Amino acid sequence: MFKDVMEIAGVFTREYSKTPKLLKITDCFILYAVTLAALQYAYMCAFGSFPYNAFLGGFFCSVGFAILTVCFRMQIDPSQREGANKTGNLERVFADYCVACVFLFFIAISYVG
Amino acid sequence: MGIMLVLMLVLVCGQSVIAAVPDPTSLHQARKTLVVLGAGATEKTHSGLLASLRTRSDGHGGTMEVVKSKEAAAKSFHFRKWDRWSYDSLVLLAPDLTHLGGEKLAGVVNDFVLSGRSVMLTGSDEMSSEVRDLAKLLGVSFHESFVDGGSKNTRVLDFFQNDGGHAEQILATGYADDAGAILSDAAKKKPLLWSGVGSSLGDDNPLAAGAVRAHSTSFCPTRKGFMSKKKGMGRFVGAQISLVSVVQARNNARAVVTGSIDMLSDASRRPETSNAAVCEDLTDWVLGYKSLLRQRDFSHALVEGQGVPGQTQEVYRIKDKLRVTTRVEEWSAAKQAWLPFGREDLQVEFTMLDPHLRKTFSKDLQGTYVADVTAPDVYGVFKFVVDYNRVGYSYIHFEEQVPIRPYRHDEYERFIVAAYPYYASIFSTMGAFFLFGLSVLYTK
Repeated sequence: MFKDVMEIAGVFTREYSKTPKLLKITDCFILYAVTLAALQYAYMCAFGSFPYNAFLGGFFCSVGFAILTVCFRMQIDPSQREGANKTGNLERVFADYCVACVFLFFIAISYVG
Repeated sequence: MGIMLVLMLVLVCGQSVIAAVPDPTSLHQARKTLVVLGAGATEKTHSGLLASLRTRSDGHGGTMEVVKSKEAAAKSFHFRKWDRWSYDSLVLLAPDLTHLGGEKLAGVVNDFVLSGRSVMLTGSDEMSSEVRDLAKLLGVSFHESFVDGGSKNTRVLDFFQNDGGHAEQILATGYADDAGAILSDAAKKKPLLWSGVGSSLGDDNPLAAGAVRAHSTSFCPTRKGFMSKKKGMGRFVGAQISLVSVVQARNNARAVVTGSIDMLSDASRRPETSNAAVCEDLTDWVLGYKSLLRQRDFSHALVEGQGVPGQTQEVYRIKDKLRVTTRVEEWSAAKQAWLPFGREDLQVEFTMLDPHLRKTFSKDLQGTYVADVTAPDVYGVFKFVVDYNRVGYSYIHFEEQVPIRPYRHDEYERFIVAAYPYYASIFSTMGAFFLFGLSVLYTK
């Protein structure tokens, strides 16, 4: 059992090391945002939902950021690119991502009150 | 034709103005009392009661008139004239009376009570059917034993608790627990000598209450002196028999109904009985010399919340702290003045369909009732309701409408400490976004 897990981890590490550096960085930020969302949920469970709008604002800001970053990662992943999308349009994708994020933050700030 | 119509209209309007219900609390004590003497009651047999009535009436600036039943029944006697009542209170010591001022007794006295005036009604085994009907209208049904198609009045019997072995001379001690509103504690110390026709309070009139009830060994007998086995006669047995009943109508008109005219007589006023004290208390109560309340100066003000503290506002906000004050005064016949009411069980309700909160007033040194309440977390049109119904005391019912509004959009609390983690998470996510942007742009 433990051996299997170790093997899975080993294979994962080996295969993951092949991914480009930019995708690794992206994964780090996704992980960070998801952790933040989980922490906020735990805080809400522990201390009550009194400023519920603030909780919703903070929680969905983190979740939304994670989702947007996942979308960004999907578009820049070379292994998932197809046909016409092949050429390096990193700047265009990043601009889309920026607009979406700024919009998300604007809503989140308005909502926390 | 047109002129006729106008004339009729004027007449109708004029009558309705004249027939307006008087405010019993504004009548004060300057009342005109009519005492009617009839069968079983003369100025000689009931001199003690009449003297005590006279003393109080004169002492309180009122007038009292004593007439014989024959005189009062005649058409020439004006009890009501053009819908104006000639008297404010009526004491009927005439069980045989059938007419008053040429009108049927039950009808005219019922109108009298409906106008907010008070009546003391006494029955006996000689009482007329009109007296019986009037008692029924007031919610008190006298016992009657039916004989060969007719009916006969029989006196309540008690073979255990009686005076000198006479079963008809009951010594009653079943005084109601009214906290002194009707009968004083002094009157309740000794038994009441009572002899007459028993009555029962129907379930259909919650306003009638028994001031003195019979013993469990008492019963209303049949013509031959037995307990009736007939259906429906079970309510004329034991403590269910009401010897003296008090009724306070919703318009604060008062009525005392007793089936014993002997209870009020001089012969019953003995040192070992409480008849004198009970008669005094009952007449005090029915003539409005005691337990008369009025409520005034209701106000509400903000204590803490949106607005100037201490100020009455048209609209309050949810969860505002409010202070409700009112004064309740009781008429003191001795001092001829309205004095602060003594009891502390007055409550205020804050109602929107249902009472959202109910609070007992506390009294301050000046006798003002004060209650601090917090408006509920529900907005809508509320009303403050002060509703006081206690046996013997005048009813108090007061309502004042107060709307409660929700927070305005800019009145909510901001920068709550408990929400700091959420604020921090947003800014840290923004920071993460910034760092991520840099790393995307400068990673080669």
